[in-house]
Amino acid sequence: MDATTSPVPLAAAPAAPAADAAAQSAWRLPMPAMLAVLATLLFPAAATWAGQDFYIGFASRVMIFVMAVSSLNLLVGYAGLVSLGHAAYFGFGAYVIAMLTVAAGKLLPSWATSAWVAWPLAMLGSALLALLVGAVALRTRQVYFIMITLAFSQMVYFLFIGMASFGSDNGMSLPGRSPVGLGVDLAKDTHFFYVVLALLVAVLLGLRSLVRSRFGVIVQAIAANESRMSAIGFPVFRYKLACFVIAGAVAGLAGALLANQNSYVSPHMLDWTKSGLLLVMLILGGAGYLAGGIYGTVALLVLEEVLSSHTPYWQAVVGVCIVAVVVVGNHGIAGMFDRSGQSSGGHGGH
Amino acid sequence: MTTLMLEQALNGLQLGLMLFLLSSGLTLIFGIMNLINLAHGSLYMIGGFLAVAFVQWTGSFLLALPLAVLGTAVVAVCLEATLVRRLYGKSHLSQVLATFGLILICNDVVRWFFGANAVMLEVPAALARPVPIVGGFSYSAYRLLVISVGLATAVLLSLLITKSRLGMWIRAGASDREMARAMGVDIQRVFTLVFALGAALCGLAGALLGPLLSVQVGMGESIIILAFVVVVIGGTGSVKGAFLGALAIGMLDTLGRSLLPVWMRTQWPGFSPDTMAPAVAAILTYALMVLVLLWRPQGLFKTA
Amino acid sequence: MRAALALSSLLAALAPGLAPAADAIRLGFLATSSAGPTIGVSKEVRLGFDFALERLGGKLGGVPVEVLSGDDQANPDVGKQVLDRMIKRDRIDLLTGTMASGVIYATVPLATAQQVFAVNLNVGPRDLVADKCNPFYFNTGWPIESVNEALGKYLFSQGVKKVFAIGAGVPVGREHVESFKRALGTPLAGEIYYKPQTLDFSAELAQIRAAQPEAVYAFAFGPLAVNFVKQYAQAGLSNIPLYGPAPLADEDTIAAAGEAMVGVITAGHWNADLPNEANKAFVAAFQKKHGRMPSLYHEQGYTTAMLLDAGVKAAQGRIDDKKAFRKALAGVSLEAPRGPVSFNVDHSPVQNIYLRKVFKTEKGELVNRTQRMIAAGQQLRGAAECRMPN
Repeated sequence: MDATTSPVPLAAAPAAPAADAAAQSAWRLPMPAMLAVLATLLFPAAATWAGQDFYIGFASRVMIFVMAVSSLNLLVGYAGLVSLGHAAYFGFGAYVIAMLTVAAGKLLPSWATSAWVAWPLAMLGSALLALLVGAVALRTRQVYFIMITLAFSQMVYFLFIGMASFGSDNGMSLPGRSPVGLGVDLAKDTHFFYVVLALLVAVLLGLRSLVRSRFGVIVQAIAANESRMSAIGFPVFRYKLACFVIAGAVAGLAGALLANQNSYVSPHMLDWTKSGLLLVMLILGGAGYLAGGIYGTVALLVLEEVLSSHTPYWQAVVGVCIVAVVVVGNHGIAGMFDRSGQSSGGHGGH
Repeated sequence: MTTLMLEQALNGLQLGLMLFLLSSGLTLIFGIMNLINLAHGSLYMIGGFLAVAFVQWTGSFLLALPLAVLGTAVVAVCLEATLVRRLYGKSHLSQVLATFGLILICNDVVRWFFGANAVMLEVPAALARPVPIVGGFSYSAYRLLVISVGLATAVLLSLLITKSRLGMWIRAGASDREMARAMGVDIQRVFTLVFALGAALCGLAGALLGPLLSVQVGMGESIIILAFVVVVIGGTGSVKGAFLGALAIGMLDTLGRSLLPVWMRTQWPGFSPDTMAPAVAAILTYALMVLVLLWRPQGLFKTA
Repeated sequence: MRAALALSSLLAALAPGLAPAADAIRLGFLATSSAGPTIGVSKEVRLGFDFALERLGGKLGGVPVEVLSGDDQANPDVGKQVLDRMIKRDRIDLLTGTMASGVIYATVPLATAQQVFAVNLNVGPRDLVADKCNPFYFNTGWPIESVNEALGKYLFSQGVKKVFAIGAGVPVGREHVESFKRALGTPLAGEIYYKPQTLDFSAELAQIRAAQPEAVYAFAFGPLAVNFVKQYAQAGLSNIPLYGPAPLADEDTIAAAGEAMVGVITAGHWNADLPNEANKAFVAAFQKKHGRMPSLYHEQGYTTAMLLDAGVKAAQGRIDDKKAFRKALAGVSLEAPRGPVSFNVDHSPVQNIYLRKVFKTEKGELVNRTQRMIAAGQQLRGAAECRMPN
């Protein structure tokens, strides 16, 4: 391994302002973005009218994955940290919900399962896990970082497989979705849809402002040239760790939502192939673009849903798409939309 | 208890040698071509299925074995020429992605040809019996064959690396690719040969393990991660490192899975360790990799 | 713009769906077809079901049936999603086909909560019947306890004391071993569970050898059973008799494992050589159509279809009247290949249990011979505790 080549930046353009402009141009597609938001708001009504209310639940699931992939986007697309173990924080958030459900009434008061308590706890749990893993993993670089994040993710996976009280290998059914109160009943697919949508919008807006803030600019600069930033005097490790923890926390929220969506948790949510899938969705959509998490996830999940009813070999089709995207060398779907004239370097990596 | 330990030690040796077959190719590919190939496990699966096909065609396992190895190498050469070649210059992330997609494609292609069922391979009748080793303890003859083939391959591979021309090119390419190219080594040809060699080793492992583990779609995914762990521990590009790493992991995994429940039961009699013990054994394997990465990030044996 | 386009094309792709035939019964067959240890047995059970359906002219009780297939990948999570789609989008009336116990536990409550009849054609866990019964749940396979208790009692009667038990680490694995253990009476020489993805049993076999039991009880099915029995013989343990519930030695596993299976004794609700008329006809017809002996799973699929046929007939085709259909199905009594079968108050099946042993004939064939019936018209313990709404 060459120690001399600096890490290939996946996000930051030659200068931070250009990155900001590109991010702006990728996000501020006025008409399409507004139309998309409107379409999403109207989706449940449209689906019910078409007699296809099953797809409201499907759309909720897509949004949950968009949230998880967007959290990975922060790591991969902006901080330049390729994690092949992100499913661990996604799954851990789900398991926190399971643990609270099991403990409620016995070790904990019954309101511990309320969404207001459980979901923040899930975020906290995943954040702590990310802190532990990041503290160790961020000491390494490049491919070793990839391997260590993978190793930790596998350890958590095996840990949950070993826990018989949560059904070990087979996972565990949850009695129902988290109680919310205020007239909101998450058991109703439509209510759940809007709650997830609200949280997703909050996450995406939060991500956007984080990336444009001083913190975000520094992180992208670190991704571009770490030794320079370190020489200037920035505590590089702390910034990277902060990113890792934030990404973990958001993934934890997505995990809590997934546990609610399925009323089910299983160690297979944490398997390395799930981490790979999150990464695939991100790269397909375009890492380093704020909308990258959206495009890739929607494309892949819709493709899976439509294809799987037509052929049992849909995975091969997905595989071909992935290979095509990589070989053709685009910066994902978002890269195809980005006509702002940025030709090389910067977003999406190569 | 001692027969238990002896049997498990031999099983660990067997697992370790099979892991070595997988990871030696992987470490060479990674060390020389700087390519992360997640689909390496798919080549192992293809080797197993080719063995099934050739056994059906020739009726003899011993004939099917070399054919499967050759077949896997041929498949690898085709893959290399069409897809893998385009990944050499790309970032590790792109390689991870493309080879992940390749796994999906390989799985469905194999499913198309062979179905999703697990396929059983027959152990050749002559070897389907236990062989007495020492004092009343006997061990499966077929497993002894697997161990012997594994050891022989290790010896041959080390001879290839150290004594042959190809080995010289490999070592040159591993330590300094640009210089090797400047010195006139046909790097592309070396890459193709190394990829094919890695695939052949995978195919051998897949075919050998077929009668023991049965062959099915997705069997590569579970073992590829262990192979990567071995590569990281042993040091990328080092076959010697892969050998020691594989044996260590093989022993740790096997002894952990079999002795840990027994030990746990003696320590905590009421506690049923069936699910926890294999999990702990697996966790220990990854913990070992993390420790090695922190202590010696380049692995046990640095090549370049 | 593109998002809106994508959305509208999405809705267009969904709309066609399935044009519901007004009078057809919509039956969801959720089994494993792409990944997991239950692929093989799922295929066989479906074969048996389709075989019955073909003989019934594609109808149950005279009403045409539309069978919708789903793949659960032996994963409860996936199974739930697929079932959700089947219930909400495809509006199924009946659910059957699931072989993976983890998926059963996850999907049955989902189905019954939405008033879809869940017909479990495989092993019946206790947690879904007796005091936990549900009007929409029926088991047409075999209750776990019934077979294992019968086997345990048999071993006890033979004076076998030191038994080592090994079971699959699936949700019902523990129930298998526990019910066997309870009926055996003596403490086990060892109790271990292997992961359902296990391909190499060397660690488990070594533990068995170290315990030196008089006999071994093994719960395994499909490829797991084949691998276990083959490796058991290869490890030189054949001198220790091997027992288990029927899936350990059924026609398919015997064919795949070969000579290693000789001497294995299993307890099950059916065997290919049962002398009753229904079975003779079933075996002959199956052999004629498929060129091989039917296995346990074919029988399960077949008899389930036959039971449903009788139920729909008794309800005069009105399965949308849930209460009437439930009562009709619960009242069915049939001469099936397995012998006489009917439903108990908790919808667990009442049927015979047989003891079978694998022999090698003079011609060198391997046959699974029924030794005797070890329980006649067996009822699940505690079935009467079921309190179902009327």
